[in-house]
Amino acid sequence: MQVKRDVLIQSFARPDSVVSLTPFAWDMLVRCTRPHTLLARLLILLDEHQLSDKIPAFARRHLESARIVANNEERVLRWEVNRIQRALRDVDIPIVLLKGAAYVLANLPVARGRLSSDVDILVPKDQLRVVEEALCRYGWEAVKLESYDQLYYRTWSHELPPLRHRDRKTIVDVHHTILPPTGRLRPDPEKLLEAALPLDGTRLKVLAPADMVLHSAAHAFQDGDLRRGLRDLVDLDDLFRYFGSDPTFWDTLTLRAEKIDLARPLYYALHFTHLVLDTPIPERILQTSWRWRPIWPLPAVMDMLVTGALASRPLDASKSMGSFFRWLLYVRSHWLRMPPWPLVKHLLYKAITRGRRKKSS
Amino acid sequence: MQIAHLSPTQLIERIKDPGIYIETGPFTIHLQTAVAHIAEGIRLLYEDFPILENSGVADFHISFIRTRSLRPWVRPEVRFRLDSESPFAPLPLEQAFPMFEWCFNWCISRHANQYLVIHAAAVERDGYATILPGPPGSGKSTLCAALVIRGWRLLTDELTLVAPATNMIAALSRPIALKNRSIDVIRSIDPQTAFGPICQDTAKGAVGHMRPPTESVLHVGDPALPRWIVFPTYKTKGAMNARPMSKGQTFMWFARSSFNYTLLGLTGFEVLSNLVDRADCFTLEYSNLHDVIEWFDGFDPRELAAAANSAHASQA
Amino acid sequence: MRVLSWTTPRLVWKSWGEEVIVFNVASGNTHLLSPVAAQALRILEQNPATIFELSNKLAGSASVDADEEFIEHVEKLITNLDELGLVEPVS
Repeated sequence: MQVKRDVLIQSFARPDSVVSLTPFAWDMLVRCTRPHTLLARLLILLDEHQLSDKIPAFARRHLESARIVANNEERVLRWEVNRIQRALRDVDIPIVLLKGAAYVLANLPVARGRLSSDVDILVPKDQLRVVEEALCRYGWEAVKLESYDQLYYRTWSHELPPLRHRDRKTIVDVHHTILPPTGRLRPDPEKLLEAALPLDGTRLKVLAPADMVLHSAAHAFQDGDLRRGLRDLVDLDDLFRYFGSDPTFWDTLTLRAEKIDLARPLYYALHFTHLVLDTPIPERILQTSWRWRPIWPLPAVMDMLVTGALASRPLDASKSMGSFFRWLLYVRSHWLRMPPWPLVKHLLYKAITRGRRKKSS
Repeated sequence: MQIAHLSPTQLIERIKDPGIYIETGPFTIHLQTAVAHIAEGIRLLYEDFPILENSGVADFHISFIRTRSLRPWVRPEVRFRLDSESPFAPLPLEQAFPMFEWCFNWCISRHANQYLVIHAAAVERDGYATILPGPPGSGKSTLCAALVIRGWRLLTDELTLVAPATNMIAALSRPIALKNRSIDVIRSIDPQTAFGPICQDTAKGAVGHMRPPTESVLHVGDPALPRWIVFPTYKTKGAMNARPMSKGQTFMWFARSSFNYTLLGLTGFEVLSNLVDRADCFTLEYSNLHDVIEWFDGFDPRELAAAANSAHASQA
Repeated sequence: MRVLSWTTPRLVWKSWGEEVIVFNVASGNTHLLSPVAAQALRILEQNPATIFELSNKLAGSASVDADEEFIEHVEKLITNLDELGLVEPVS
């Protein structure tokens, strides 16, 4: 399927294409990129491709301003990990950093320009209490949720309710597995913990490369509703390029995907990064991944939903097909997260309370 | 071409569609709205500002939309939009122009991290700037307006932008927002002062904007070197009292009331250190603007003690 | 019980006379320090020290005795500074 590329996707897929942009197109590019929180990432990409001097001054200002924000987010994240280590000093259990925190602390290229200061950690399920108590002793407290939401988190979800630090207002999400335990896909957290690698100079760990990639894929295509859309694909593209430079990585990845039940999200990750961003993936790996495709007509439906959802939001806030597709993906992600009847109850409850809140405000 | 070169009708039509590109110092804004109050405010208060041709390029593409309600008894409101985001609840239509100013400030405070953005007014004379920090109610805007009438160049009434590379303040020269009594006070100092529409009943009381002097607007491209920092506190009565303020306290105040000090990390620390280093810092209590203007008249960039001494003399 | 040695992370200083401001690069926080806190941090920045060693140095420069009460004060100071992220135990 051919993807109609708007200027945003084109700039990420083919950075060289920016040299032919008119000032008007540059202005559009900045405005389209901003809602995806990818401005800093774009600047870094263009710098990497020696295209800095092709960026007009007015656009450059905004990219630089965003980069400053991203640098600060990185600092906040590193400090947060520092504080978490301090709080868990006397807790002798394996702690695995996930997602952004892992990328930053492991100094991976995918970390650059990211805007995320929440810290996600993975711990053994039987140690959740211990970790929660230790963090609460050092100033974190459970985000105030209505009791219904609390129950949702603890029953259906795969994490404690988020913990927010009372002074810094930063968030730690403590997970015991990486996808909801009631969902269709059940990656075994013990396998992930076993394969986790130590981070130099700390007592923390990060997921092994294949697991890191699979987690990112699961996050984008199973657990997520692709609301982060292009950002998720850009992360995956970065991870594929970085780890893929090791020729043994690809076979490790496909074997591992089947072993920990994340083959379907990997299919989507490979398929869509290749389709949208021209990510260099060995042809034989793409072919291998076809056996994990969903049955007809789902591949075509997903193609439509995802590429539709990725379309840049119109700049005049009118409802677009893009937002419809994103809504469909949102429903889908909950479908995959919860069995049908509880899902209906959950969505109904949310709709009613949202309506009530609107009326009273 | 400047705003003044368009006829009122042309201006209203252009702002409605496709919108107008105004250059305001370091920022270009693309404003599009059919709300008449805003067009009127632009006509009165931005007349010296350059209009750019519709190149489609701007730092901020903003629009203000009159919200429709099916219920005729609901007062009409106006909503702000930056691209597809609408971050604020709508306000009554009469407050459309102050809303424009506040939203413009908001855009700058969030997306101008190439500067250290401090919540303060600033004025300039002979290349040197006086910064007037202070929370709402401290009288900084009134003082700023009075100094501008006196002949100081207006740099800004709200957002002081310090450039890290040069440690100089960039000018905005935008209208000065005044509230309640301040409007009368300024009019009594100079009855010729041009104001935009005065809005009653905002969350802050009555709000009006003073037109920036043409000279200030023409020199908006000239930065200024920070030289004095004066924390004003307006009191209804009492003699003027100016005292030196410690640099440490000044630093910490600025760090707390800057929009992006923490965001800028070490750069923020260095810029602020430099700023406080080179500036003489004072607190100033006053009830009479005339006394205070004279005190400011005495500022001499070569003299550290002179200003402080004359303040003590007037106190005795 | 293991006696901890304390040190500082990377700090950037600015002072005007008696007033000392310090910027912690890692935390991004800025602090206006009391004279004794400033002195303690300057000592630890040079060389890590235990609370006992630090107390002696501080007492020495103030020409007082590092008695039990003094050491207790220093301990409280270190606890505060630890909470703020201005000191950390040497690993």
